[in-house]
Amino acid sequence: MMLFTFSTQLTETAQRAIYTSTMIDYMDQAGSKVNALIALAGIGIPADDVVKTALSDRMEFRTMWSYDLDVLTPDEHIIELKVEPGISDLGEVIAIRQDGVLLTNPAYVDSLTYVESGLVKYYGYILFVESMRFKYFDKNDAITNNKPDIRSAGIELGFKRDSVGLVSRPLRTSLYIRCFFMNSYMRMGA
Amino acid sequence: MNMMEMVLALFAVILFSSVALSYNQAIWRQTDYLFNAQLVVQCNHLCHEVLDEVDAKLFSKQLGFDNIISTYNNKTRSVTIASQSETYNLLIKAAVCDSFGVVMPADSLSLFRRVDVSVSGPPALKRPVNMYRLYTRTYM
Repeated sequence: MMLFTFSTQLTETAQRAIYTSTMIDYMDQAGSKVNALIALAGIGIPADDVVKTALSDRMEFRTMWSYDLDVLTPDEHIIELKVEPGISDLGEVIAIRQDGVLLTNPAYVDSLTYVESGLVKYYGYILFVESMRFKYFDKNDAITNNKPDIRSAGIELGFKRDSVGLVSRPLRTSLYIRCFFMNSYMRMGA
Repeated sequence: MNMMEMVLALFAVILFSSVALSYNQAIWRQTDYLFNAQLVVQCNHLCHEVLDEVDAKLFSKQLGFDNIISTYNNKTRSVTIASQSETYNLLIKAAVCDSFGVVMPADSLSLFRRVDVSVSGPPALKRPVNMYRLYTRTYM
């Protein structure tokens, strides 16, 4: 009986450990992706005009960079980040849209498997998300909601993933990142 | 149950208890490692935050290259992240250095400055996370 209990516990603990370590890695990659996305915000746009929408759960910004084509374009693009209901049972997702069109990698949509193919492309969805909260800062690092003053964003990302054995005990991790609108800072110094 | 059987039963209890204890200890150690890994990722991003801030302020000319040391050396910050119920303590140091990042005397003529960030605080973090970045005078 004791051995049976050990065996069951060992299996569950091992599964949770594998899932948690995967989620820690995934969380780090997700944070880096969001940071890389915002790093290209505001290219070719006046510093005061970069942020279009600044809500606590949604952000839109302008840039001349096309994330879809991975090139600089002569046209302005609106990039939107927000949490949406999931496209499967993988939890909620951060959907990233360029001009209203989801940035997609076919691998995401077809197989729903996570494919790491570089930071710049394949933003589309960030999976296993539970929450995303934005705080905005001005050039002196004071909190602001005045869009022309925003120069950086603090983002709290919460992740949740159902564990294999116990669905009632999901794995939760969270990460706080601060993303600077570097192009706005460069414009200010130009 | 005779004496021999009782002794064997006692040995069995001791054996299984030892296995249970060592197993539980391994689980706790594993949980510690996972907590530590999660905190290291967060600390990494906090280090980047400070170093990116220096970059951003150099870009905007809010911060002069010659003022990096006076602005950032021996500065401490405390960051509380509500969702994690954790407080992180940041220690920032800045120094004159050469192109390899080797710290030089403060009055040395150099085109490079080094900013170090060390993050500690959460009890589950086994050791502080350190990161540094070099900044170069560009005359732009």
